[in-house]
Amino acid sequence: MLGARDMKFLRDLWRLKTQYAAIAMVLACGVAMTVMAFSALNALSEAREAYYAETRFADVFVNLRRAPMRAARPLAAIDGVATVDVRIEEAGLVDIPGRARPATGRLVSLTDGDSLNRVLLTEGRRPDPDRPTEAIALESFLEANDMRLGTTLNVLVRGRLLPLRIVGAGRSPEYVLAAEPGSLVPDPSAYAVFWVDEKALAAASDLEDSFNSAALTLTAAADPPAVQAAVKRELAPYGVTDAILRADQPSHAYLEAEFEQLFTIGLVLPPIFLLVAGFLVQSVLARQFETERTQIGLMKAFGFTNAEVGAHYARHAAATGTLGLVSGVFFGLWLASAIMGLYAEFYRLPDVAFALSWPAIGGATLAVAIAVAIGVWRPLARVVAIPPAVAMSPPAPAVYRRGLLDRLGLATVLDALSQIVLRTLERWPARAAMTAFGLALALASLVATVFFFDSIDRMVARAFFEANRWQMSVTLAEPQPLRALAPITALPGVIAAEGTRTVAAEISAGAKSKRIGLIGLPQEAVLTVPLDPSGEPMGLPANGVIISTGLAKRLGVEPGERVRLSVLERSRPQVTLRVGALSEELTGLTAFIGLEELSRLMGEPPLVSTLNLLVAEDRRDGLYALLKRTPLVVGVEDRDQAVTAFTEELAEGIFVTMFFYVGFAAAIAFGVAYNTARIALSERSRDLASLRVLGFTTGETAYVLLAELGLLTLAALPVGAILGYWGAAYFSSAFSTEFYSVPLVVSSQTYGISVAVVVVTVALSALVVAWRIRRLDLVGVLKTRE
Amino acid sequence: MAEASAEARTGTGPAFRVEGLTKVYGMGEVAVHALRGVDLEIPTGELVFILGTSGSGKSTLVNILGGLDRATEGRVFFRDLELTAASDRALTFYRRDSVGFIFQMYNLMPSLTARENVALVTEIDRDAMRPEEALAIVGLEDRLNHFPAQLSGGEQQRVAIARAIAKQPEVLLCDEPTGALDSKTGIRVLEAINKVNVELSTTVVVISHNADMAAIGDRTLFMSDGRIVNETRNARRQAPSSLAW
Repeated sequence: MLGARDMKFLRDLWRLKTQYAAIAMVLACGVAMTVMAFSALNALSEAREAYYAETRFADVFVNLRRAPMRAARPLAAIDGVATVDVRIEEAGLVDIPGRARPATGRLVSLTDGDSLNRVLLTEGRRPDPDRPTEAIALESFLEANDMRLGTTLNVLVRGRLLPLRIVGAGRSPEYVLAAEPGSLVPDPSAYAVFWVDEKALAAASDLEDSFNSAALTLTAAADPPAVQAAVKRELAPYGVTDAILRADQPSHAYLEAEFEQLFTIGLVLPPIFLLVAGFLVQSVLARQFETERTQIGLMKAFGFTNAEVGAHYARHAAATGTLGLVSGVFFGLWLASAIMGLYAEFYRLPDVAFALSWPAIGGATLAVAIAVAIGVWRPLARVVAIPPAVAMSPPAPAVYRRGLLDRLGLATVLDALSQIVLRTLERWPARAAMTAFGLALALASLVATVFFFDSIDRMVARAFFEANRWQMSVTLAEPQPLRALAPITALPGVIAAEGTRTVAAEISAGAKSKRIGLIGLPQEAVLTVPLDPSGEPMGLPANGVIISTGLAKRLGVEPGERVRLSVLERSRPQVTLRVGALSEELTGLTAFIGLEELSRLMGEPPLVSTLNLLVAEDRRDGLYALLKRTPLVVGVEDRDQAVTAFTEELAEGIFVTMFFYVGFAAAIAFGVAYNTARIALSERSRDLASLRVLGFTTGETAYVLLAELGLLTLAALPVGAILGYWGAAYFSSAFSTEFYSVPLVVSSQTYGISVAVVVVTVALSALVVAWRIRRLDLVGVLKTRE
Repeated sequence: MAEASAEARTGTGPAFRVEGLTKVYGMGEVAVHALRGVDLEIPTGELVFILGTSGSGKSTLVNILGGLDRATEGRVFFRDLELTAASDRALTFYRRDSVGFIFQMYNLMPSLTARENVALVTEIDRDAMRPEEALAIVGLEDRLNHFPAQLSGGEQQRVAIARAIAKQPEVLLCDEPTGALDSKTGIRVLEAINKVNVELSTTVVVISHNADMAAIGDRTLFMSDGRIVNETRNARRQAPSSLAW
């Protein structure tokens, strides 16, 4: 049976339900974010591990020009290597029926059943070895292009048209991210992978009895860098360009970066919510202590121990914490399942099973307990410390003195109601500061998340319009002298053409090294230009390289310092160069060098591997048709299509996430504003009722309460904007990966939207409280002593 | 001054007219009848005392006269304004323009000085006297810049009176104005109330437990169980200074 104290506790809880619910809501947001991030992370990691295990995802990935089959044998003998699998990979230009724009394709040879990096068939069947034109296509490509099994596609491979009949749809851990390295975002409709019979692909690419790609798994005891070095040594005679560990495999690394972002979200944002909740618990309990002073004295006078009385009040905080925790966990799990769905779809991870993250729930429980304990500490200490006789006598009236307001002479110019507002703020500066700080945090968390839209805008503007000004970029199968490209540059519709050359290279400074695409630009390049950090185009240094700020940061180098470049192609030259300048590259880790200088370095005449084009808008489709039949071409990127794909792909995920962040931030703003106004109402109900008795209207009376909140909000805005900018700076650096850097741009629109959300939320909570002024008991409040 | 005839101070016509006023709090079994059909007229400029035990209905009556509470039945007029039919907003402006209140608990704004507490009401009234003037009437001209916490109980109550009279209200409603004060201070407060009645011809209604105090008024109403059960008229009003309790 419930005791008298239980009943009192329950009734008090019910009386203060809205206030405690508002706190619980703030707590729940923090908990939900943690649980969401870590549960999703947990589920996705497990799904990924299972996926990797099932498909035997490799540990080392090797690319080379061409090696005979026997060259694979020594690889298996390298210490630490468990399995070796060799195959053929070839680039191809895919003609999609009914669409002018071709897709970039990759053909991969299918080996036997227990090979590495296996394709997971989701529909259809494996190609019949007796029918060399059959292929499995990447599921995402088929879906994005609305293509059915049975479709035949023409793929241009090494200048030959290879018809491929799609008999199966598949997924592969190698192509979780279906995009060319350097792309901002996957565009599944423009990137195809085909798994075809080994013999057929060998014939098409003149690689009979040879391979140009190898995958290795390692033993548990292996030393990966040592294996990597040994593989490079063994395959050096065969033109090895790449031997990368799983950590650098683009698809894996991209997924890993996304997981890190989830981790950051789960770890960084929730403490803000818990901090605010702790502050709110403190203010509400402190107020409850004041209103129940006499009761506290009575309980003590009746013989309840300090611990019993303290526990009675601690229960309120505990109940609020529990409500916040439980609802947060459920909300978080719901969010997790939603976000997991998005991720699973985006990354095509099979069998994402919902997995509770007990550590996350445990961590959230601990964090909530700490937040509540911080909030409960001071009010509880007062409950315990106050002697019963003191508690039962009315509190000493608040003592006001002539303060700053009077010294500034403001007292004489302001009306009496405004003086009440300002004197109250002056009297309790710490509380005012805490309220303003809470609102500032709400604003900051909005600014720090909404700024992603500005970031994306900047990325699009920089990547697709300022740094790259071409409309079409054509990738060539092999580097060619510019004059050999007349068949392309002379095509009808080409207004301007500019050739660049990209070679795979390793850049290093001291012990740090990074594999990059080294881009050779002509001196007078206009269609691709490096931009300085302020976004201005810059010229190439006479001798030296321009490296991106992201790369400079990873290597720990500054302009003027030297870096070592090892080209991984052809003659594999090595050179030490001065870093001439840093460029603001938003995608990938890149370095620029003069095309002449690159050619000299390679010991070759000037060759280009990419042709950037300006094209006549009305000739675009015709141009595509011609390019699809041009033997040299293996890839075409269309600027407008890339922009569309980029914004569409990102839009879905970001809008959903933003929706929640805005909701979360509004929850903080509401929690702070509502509780502040509600406590002010409770503290000053007597003064407010007096005002009503004296003939002030509800509106005039509400002014006393709301002007205070308004001023605090006003004070919170600049602070929140600054904190928000810092938060944005933190996220822009935390969310920047090797694939893209998130630029730090916060537009006035972002500030505007964030301020509007906070102001509207504060106004709404103020209205809820102002409504209560109408219901003030004018008679009762004046008769009784507080 | 206290000897001036009631006729000289009371104007034409009544300030308040109360007909069959009933007030019931709560419903059903828990219903409490605070007023059970009160009929009353208070002429303009009169100083009326209402005496009665606790629960007799005197505060309820004064609260309804002041527009702080609503009647259950019956009609109450302040001059031509029917308070029982007035909207919330109309009652607010009635309080703002015509009524001054003095309570047992002084209900001053703790964050405003004495002068500012008075200015609070003079700012919203066109015919108000200056706060300094009102405070001088109650003898607090040298405490203008003190905050309530820096004033004694009697001083705080006198600030409340100054606040009530500063707008020169037509009626002054006082609910146990001396209840929290010692007799010496109480007399100073009564002197201030008396002065307002005499000098400004303000109609004054005072609720009190103290029967002796009623000697300074024109008329005394006795309430019991929600009704006016007796009424006496003083042929001659005594000066507050002659009281002792």
